Amino acid sequence: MTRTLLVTDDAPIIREMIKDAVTEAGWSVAGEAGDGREAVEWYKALRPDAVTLDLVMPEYDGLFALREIMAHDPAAKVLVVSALDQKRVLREAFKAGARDFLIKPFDRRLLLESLEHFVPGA
Amino acid sequence: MGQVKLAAAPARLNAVLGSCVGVALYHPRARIGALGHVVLPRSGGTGGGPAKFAESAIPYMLAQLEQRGASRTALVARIAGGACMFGTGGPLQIGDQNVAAVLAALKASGVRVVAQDTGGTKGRRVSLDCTNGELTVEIVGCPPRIL
Amino acid sequence: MPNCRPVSHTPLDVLRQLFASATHDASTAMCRWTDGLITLSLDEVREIPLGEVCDELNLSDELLTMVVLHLEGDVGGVMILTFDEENGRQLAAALLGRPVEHDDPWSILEQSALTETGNILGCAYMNALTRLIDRELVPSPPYFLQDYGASVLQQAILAQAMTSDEVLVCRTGFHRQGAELDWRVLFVPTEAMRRAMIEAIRTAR
Repeated sequence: MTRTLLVTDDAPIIREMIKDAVTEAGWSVAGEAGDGREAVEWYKALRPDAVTLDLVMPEYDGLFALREIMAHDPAAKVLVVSALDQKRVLREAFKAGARDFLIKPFDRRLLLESLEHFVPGA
Repeated sequence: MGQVKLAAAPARLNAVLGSCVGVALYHPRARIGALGHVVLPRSGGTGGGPAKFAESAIPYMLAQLEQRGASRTALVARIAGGACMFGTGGPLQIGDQNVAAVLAALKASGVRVVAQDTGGTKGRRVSLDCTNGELTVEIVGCPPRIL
Repeated sequence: MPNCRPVSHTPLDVLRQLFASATHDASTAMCRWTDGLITLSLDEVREIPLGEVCDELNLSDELLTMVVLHLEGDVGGVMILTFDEENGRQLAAALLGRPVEHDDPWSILEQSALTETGNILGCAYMNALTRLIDRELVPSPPYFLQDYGASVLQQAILAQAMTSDEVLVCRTGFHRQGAELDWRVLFVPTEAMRRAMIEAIRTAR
């Protein structure tokens, strides 16, 4: 069965890069969100297999979305993809339930490996 | 920034403004103008010359003009600037306070404000024509406005 | 540079060291983001009198394309990336893998290419400073501006202007395969950030 992904980033260029990479690897992009609130709404509506989540976004940030998504679905598989690489921020993200963390600019191969790790393909 | 320039006709005085306020004072008979570039409303005890703060810049400009024979009773003011360059949700929203402080200082000094182009989120390029006192205000993407 | 005045030798050297280290990390991130095309170098760390800052940094009424990030709080600051129109378009095109577009206005994707460049660069810079001064430094989402360079700089230096008549600015240049580009990164820390940086380095010694 095709694996589905919700892509969250306020930067359209990053959403395009993630979409290109995962589509080529056989994933289906269920939806895309430009801020934390959209991510929560789309997660509830689409129930994707996994989510990529940026942290620094306008209005509602990634940590807000992560906490809301995990409260709604404790089994959610969220991969944080952010340019922030700071101990305290990462600790908070993992504490809130993030499965993995990727620093932007990210390597395409690492993105796919990470997603594959927590949502194995057929 | 934080400076005052003076000139007589036919010179022009120019400034580029963001959150700062450009104060153009002009004496129509003497054909002398001054352009002040006000950075902050008031000093609050911090360092800086008189032209940096609205509360001290206006008296300073008046004194400079009076020294050149331009009496304050005939002076008129045009002001521009005071934008919030980083959007209304951004940091350091001081543009509106600068405008209010400049208007209050002008009122306290009895100088009439004949025109103003202030606020918004865009920078301004201004040019005071000391021949006639007109202040040309340019904003990127808009036609120039003459005050 | 006739108006270049050191804060005093020791603090300025300390700040230079710290900014050089942060610039190195930002350069590594930039290099990865642009597939090895672009690198950064620290040009100068200077304290400039308020009345001369726009002239000294060569920011006047020229229309520039800029990406701005700010760090809220006392220990904060503002970072500005400046590009002239042509070079900004070139960077966006290279990142998008498309030919350069010359038509106005900038498309959403082109703007996004530049703002994300600002995000990656600004975060890499702050990540490095965080490790050096042991504070959480999370920049705002970047925003895209097209305006007069001097107008934007005025707003960026306001926090410093409130407490001082001189402005500390860190200026970084860009290089493409060794050749200097007309792009810049300006970082204007608040007074509290400057103190935190100096203190952190001194404590570490």
